Amino acid sequence: MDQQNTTEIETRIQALLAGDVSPKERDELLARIATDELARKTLAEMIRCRNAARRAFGYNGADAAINPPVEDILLATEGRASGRPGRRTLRPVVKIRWASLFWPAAAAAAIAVAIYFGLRGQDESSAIRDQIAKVNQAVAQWQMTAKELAGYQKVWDEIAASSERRSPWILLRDGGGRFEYLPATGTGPQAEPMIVRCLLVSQDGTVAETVNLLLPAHRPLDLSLGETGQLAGLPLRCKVAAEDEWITMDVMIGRDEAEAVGVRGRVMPGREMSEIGQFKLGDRGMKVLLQAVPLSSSLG
Amino acid sequence: MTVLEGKQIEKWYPRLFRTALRLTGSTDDASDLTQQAFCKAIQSRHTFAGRGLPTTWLHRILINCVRDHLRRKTTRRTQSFDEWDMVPVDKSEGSAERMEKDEKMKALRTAIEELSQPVRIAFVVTVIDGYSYREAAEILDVPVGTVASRVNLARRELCQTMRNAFPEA
Repeated sequence: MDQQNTTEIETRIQALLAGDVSPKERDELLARIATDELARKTLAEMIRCRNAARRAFGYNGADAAINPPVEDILLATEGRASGRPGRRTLRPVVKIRWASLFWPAAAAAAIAVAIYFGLRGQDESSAIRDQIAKVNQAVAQWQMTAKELAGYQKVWDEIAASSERRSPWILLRDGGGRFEYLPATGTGPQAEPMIVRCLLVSQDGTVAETVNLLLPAHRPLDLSLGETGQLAGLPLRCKVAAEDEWITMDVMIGRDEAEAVGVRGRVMPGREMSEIGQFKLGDRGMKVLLQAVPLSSSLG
Repeated sequence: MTVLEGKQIEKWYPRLFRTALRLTGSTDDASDLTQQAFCKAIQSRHTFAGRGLPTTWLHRILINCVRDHLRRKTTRRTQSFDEWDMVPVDKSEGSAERMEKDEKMKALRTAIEELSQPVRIAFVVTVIDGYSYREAAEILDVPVGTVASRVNLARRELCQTMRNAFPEA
């Protein structure tokens, strides 16, 4: 492939990856990718380069919004080829002409999808293993003691006693804390509390920041806790959500949401502490550990 | 077409900020430049002809602000990109493998930072920020072929740098 051809195919592939192509151009390009080995190699190299460059600059899943995911682009013709609605293009399928009209797109899509999943295979499997490991791996040295849990129960009882029907959430930090009452959910008694603890621990084991949050257990909620501490002179913000028995925590560092970077992870209450991610500050790694413990069951 | 209402600024700010951050390496500079770009865009919103996307138009304004800033700036930046890195935990690998991967990412980042300014801007806008060469040409105000050759050059230089740094890989 000479330089002019290289430039031409790279330009077309980048347009495909950026979603800046018409359906016709996409079909033509996918058909070419299906039959032209050099085009396939170029696509593979461009995706590899893009993924590596984005990883090098710390882009995470949230940044997928910057352009259409590759999966969507490459699968766009699949629906028409198989007679099912495509992800992005809906067009009635004329069965008689199916074979003559759509086979190049179908073949191209199949090959492009294979390239895509081949490239992503390693990442996908690592990500799945990582997700499972997040829940199961324990960081034993940061277990809460019964004495601590009793202290949290006392704090909860005092604050919860002020309202018969509404459960509070309480953020404890530096010997103080702030709390708010959640809307009442019914006429029943208040929910049992649980403690959600998030630690930021440096590689040498020093706890740089701690977030201790008391929440009603077994209740769906979505809370923005605002600023919960500081790390490297930057505000630390947390969001917590409870749904389907899972507690999900977003930990973000930055002056405001637009420029913040963060990690997200979830734990099942009652399990041991899990590492949900890591911040890299200069040469230092900062682990983010999360645990949720129902107070009553642990004390009983 | 109305551009730059409050919600739209909110929507586009992160993407522009990220571009500015990749190009300047400083959160303070990126924040200033993004705000500067929005101010300029608001002042000259009547010049947006409605052709193309507002994000492309905004990126063009931002890139001009960044170019002016880089021209003015004579010293090397003092704040490392590292401060803003988020490294997801990969428990499937041992710490040695993780360190090796971190090393490679750091080398790649340094190699991108060391590309010449026009090549780096073309690479960031297309490969990292996800614009097509046609859109990038509009943003950078150069022909499509120029964008293509700059990005191709960037890719080849980065591959070479990585091969030199990690010949076993």
